[in-house]
Amino acid sequence: MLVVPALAGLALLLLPMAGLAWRAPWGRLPGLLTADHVLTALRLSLTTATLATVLALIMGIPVAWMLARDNVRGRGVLRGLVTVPLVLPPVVGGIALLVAFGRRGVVGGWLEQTFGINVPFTTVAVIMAQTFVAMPFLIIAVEGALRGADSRYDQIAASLGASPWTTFRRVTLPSVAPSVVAGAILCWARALGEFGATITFAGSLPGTTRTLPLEAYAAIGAGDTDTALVLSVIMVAVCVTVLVALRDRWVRAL
Amino acid sequence: MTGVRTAIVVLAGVVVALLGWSWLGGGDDGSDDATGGDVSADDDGRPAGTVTVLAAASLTESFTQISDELARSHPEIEIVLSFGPSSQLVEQVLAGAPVDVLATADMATMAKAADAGVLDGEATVFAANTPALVVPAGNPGGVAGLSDLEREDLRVAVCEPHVPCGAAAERLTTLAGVEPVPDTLATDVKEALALVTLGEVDVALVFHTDAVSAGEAVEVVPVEEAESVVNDYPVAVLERARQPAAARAVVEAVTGEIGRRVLTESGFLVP
Amino acid sequence: MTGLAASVVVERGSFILDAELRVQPGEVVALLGPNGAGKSTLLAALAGLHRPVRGLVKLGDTVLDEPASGVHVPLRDRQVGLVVQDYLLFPRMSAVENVAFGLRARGVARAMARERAREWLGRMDVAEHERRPRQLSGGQAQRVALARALIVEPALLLLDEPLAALDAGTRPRVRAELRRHLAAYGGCTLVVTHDPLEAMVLGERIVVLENGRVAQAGTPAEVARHPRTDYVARLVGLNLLRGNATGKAARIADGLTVTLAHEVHGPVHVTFPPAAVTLSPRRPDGSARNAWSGTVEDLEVHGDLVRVSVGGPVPLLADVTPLAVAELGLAPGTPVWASVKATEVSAYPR
Repeated sequence: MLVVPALAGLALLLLPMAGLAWRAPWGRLPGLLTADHVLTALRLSLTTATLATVLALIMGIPVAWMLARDNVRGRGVLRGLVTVPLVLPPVVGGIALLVAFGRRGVVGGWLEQTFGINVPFTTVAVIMAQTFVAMPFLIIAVEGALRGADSRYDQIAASLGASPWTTFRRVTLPSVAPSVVAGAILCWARALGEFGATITFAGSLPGTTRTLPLEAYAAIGAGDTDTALVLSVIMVAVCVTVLVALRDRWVRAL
Repeated sequence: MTGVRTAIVVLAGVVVALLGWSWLGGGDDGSDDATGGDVSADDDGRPAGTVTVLAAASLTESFTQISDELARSHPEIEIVLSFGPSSQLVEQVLAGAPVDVLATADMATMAKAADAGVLDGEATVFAANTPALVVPAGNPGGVAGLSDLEREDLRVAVCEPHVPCGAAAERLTTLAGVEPVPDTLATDVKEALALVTLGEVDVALVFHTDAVSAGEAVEVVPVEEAESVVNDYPVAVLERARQPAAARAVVEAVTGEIGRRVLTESGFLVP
Repeated sequence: MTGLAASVVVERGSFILDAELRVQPGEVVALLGPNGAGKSTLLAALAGLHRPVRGLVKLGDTVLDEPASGVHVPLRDRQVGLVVQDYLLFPRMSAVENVAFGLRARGVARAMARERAREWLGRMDVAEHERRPRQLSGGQAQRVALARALIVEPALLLLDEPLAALDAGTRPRVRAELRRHLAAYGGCTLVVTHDPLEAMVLGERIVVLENGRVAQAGTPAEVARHPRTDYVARLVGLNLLRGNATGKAARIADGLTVTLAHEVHGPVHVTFPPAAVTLSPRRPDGSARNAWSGTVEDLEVHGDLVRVSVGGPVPLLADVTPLAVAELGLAPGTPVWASVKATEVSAYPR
């Protein structure tokens, strides 16, 4: 009998979202959607999640490439470490970021003394927290694809005189494009929903570091359930739209 | 295949070890006393059972100590403590959390619970707190008073306006005619305090008791107006309490002799 | 130009390849051998993908590998072209982009590279310039792969089972085209194959590799006529004639024709297995439609059969039983008639 646990599982996954839809203050929706604090948080979230995804692409694809190569020493350990943020409680990630990049942190102290740069409690900190938590999604997706890619194409390209960089850019990367897109989408969705690391490392200040999830949390704390519900509905809508629209085409590539 | 099997065995071993440690190594959490959660009074008619207490974050140290002392005199009462921002505690209670006692850091949040009719009787004020301006040890930002909260070059943390420490901060700064420029709005007072002890912010507005609890990690910058911003701490038994007698015993401990002594040591004002 | 001169020892686990190979410029050498003989290993070594532990690989005047002095030129700098079994055209590029890739990688401007690529595709009779690889037929894909490899003018062209990916129906035609294109290429060519017919059609010389060693080398006729191992005898046991076909007859020499079972036109390869040849003391009649007279030149025992080389206007091989040898009294110098049924004869365009 697989049907009963399957139904229970589906109910657990879908009922909360149905509950959101049911409880959402649809009547007040237009007003709340155009409220300044909601728009500010929405704008901040979209900007930071997108920048975090761009950062993850720039840094994550080379990391994936490195992990997919057989001749890198300590690759297994490195892969394990890189994927830690996938399972790490985000709050722990935030604390770790704070310890590293905080003003008394290893890197942060040096940054502040040398360049006068302060990272925590800035929008940059939000992007860093999101990248920290979301980049492993991209790395895993791209690494898997690179591992499955036929390395003989690289040999052909090399025989034609192409440098490793040209080969990577013109041959390897296009062949794993679907996985890159899938990974980037998951990464973006994860960054958009990032909460724990953000509130720990970047704090919560409207317009600067208070993203949608933080705004929702603040709204709950302030007893403003309607706003919290509206923000939740926005996030669910964004995620569902993205994932459903691209489901078969891209997510399958994982 | 052997790799998978090894991994499962190792994982299971770790889980079992941690479980064992959490049950046995936890010490005096009353692991094996006979007081189940179902009895409301033992053979002598004394209150017994498990009491779940939700308390404001600023009560963390004092309530932990009160609970320890109560456990010594009343081993048949097992107290489960949970701390958080008062506003969230109230939300949890209103959402139906199985809670017996609620202690918040201001009257406004408790009023929400009272309005919803979930309290058993009236709430009792058992302590009062005043705001305090705290800086990391050594005062790296050179903070001299409330007006420094306006300095752009300093990193400033205050609490969200809807949590008690935020409300108190707002009253205080309004009273002093200061407009703070915060770099972050902490969701509860302990978060604001942690940012100071970590040195991540130069100054924060917390409660006096928090400054006391942080010890030498922080310094308090005297603020004259702070005396006039008194924040009352109410405690109440909830109507749905499963162990009303035990719950009332806990509240009596808080408002009674033990509570007064511990709270005073923690820097609270007691009635 | 001295062409390719390779003498390599390559170790792959317990397998050891120890082979010597020479290919003259403009020459096509077929590397023939059973699975596991080390053909791919040798090819990979020549491409620079496996480093030999001993030996010397020279291409023209350049030393590509000399383990003794630590010389190893990586694939990118070896001037070696690769065409592999499944062609491996870059799937996200059009035919033109595939062919232009090598020039682009060498810094040739895009427009110029595409122009040259179009010329090469034209030379290879590929008109579908803008199609993606998966829209191309097997034969087209092979020609695109060949153009892609040749456009950068490699000194050595390595083809790994270039016809294996094709279905049996198109293989003869593509094989003939490939032969023509390889003939026009001035560099050294090495074709790896396990198919003796392919080796005989494409290779001017055949090198047979067995158990990591060269078992035999020579022209296709030499190898077929004087097999030195059972494997070669069984595999290369194929009579190969060249002629011009008009319908169901192919003229293979002045006044000599072969009757075919199906219609073909133009230059053809005519093949039939030695086992299909019947030897008799007089001209046979009946259903064996092709018959030529000749003289026994040589006899060699292979397993249960005796391979008889018959000289004359149509030189051929015949596999007969020892009993037949005795009954017919075959010995070098014995005149015989050799006959083959038309249905046993294959004719392919060349």
